[in-house]
Amino acid sequence: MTRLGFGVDTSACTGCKACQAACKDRNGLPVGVLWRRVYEISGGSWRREGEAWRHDVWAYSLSVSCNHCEEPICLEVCPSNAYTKRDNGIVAHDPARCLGCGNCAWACPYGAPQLDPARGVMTKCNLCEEELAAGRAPACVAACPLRVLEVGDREELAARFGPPDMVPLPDPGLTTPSLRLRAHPHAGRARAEGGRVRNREEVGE
Amino acid sequence: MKSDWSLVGFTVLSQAAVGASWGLAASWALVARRAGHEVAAAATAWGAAVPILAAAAIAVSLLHLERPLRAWRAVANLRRSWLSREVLAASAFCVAAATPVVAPTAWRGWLLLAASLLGAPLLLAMARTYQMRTVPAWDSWATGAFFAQSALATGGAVTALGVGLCSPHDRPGAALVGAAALGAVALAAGPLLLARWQRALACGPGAARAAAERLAHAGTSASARWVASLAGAALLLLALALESPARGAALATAAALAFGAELAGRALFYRARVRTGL
Repeated sequence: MTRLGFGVDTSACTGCKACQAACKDRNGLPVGVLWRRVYEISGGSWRREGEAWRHDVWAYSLSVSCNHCEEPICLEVCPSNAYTKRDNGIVAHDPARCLGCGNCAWACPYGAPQLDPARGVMTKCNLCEEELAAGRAPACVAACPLRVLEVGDREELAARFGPPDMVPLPDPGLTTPSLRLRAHPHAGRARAEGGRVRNREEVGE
Repeated sequence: MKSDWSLVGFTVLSQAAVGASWGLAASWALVARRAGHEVAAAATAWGAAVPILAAAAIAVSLLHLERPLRAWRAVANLRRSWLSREVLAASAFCVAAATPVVAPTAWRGWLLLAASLLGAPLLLAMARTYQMRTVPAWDSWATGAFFAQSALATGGAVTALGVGLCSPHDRPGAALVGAAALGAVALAAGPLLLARWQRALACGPGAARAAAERLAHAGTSASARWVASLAGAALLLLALALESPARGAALATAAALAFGAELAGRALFYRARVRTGL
């Protein structure tokens, strides 16, 4: 049985945010709700070389949505059983069962469940189940102009991509996300020097 | 998903109900039942405060929900969710605490004792609900310690108030001395626990350090926690040296300070909610 997940080639992502916009458009998300978010991480500073000062600033982008974890903490903490882990790996949320308590939002280390204030329920990425059923790619994957975003079997993705342990992602051991990454060349510097997310206001944190 | 204040109220009121049930049941079982004096009446009559506190806690918790009319669904995930178990435990405790109020007088003490036993699983479920592995500040020994300390502090103060008001004698009895001493010690322990937790967080991983940073800039809540705790503890002990009606007034003020201290402390607890990751 195929267990679906996302693969992201962060070394080629330009941070254009077409995935973010396509997701919002496809799902009719209200202002303030972003099921897919593009994080801008940067670092570096000025350094002296002889009499000259040069900068060594670096940056990369990372597109993140719900990672349909193998050990979804949202499903563990939800009191009303609104979350289900499907056989194909998708972590689905049923708004009809949701109380809007927000416990899932507190717990998810990827910030995936988000409140729709107008409906009074949590919402999240469902991996565009309807698109997949019709044989099409999810909106974010279809919209990516550089084809850095993929959806597929997590084992197959694991053979081509690395583990999801880049800054600013949490320890993957917490929830075992169905996400695989090709690391950006500056990922090592981000870890060593403490790369920071620069667009926190934009991604709603 | 609304303001944290409803959950601050829910946790403090529930823990006060549990602590009061422990204090009153202990007063009845250890002192009053054998001696047969007025503490028996105090313990069982004042026992009505326990279901009132527990019911108020549940009512306040509904304010946190975006869809309160669906609150009945909150027990749908007992298999996995500690929040579901907490809701079930709080409801069971509330019902059990209400039975002594409507039961024949001779049964009240025993029913209060039985209800108090349900307080322990409620406190456990509450602590486990907050000990999420993605929130380092809460996933610690401190969560359970804070909740138990809060139950003993507010419960001791409520018990002392009840026993003090119902006792006609000027000389404080063993039940009043015990409840006041327990409440005072637990109240004074609150700020010390907070300081120890803050130091432990400062040495932890990134999200824990961020929580410590937030606590360091808490301002009014932290000061209120210290002042109300120490003043409440002092007043509880001072009340033992007073005579009625000054004693009643001192005990009522001490109980109010105990609730104020624990509310401020719980606000700090919520302030430290820094999730690991994005």
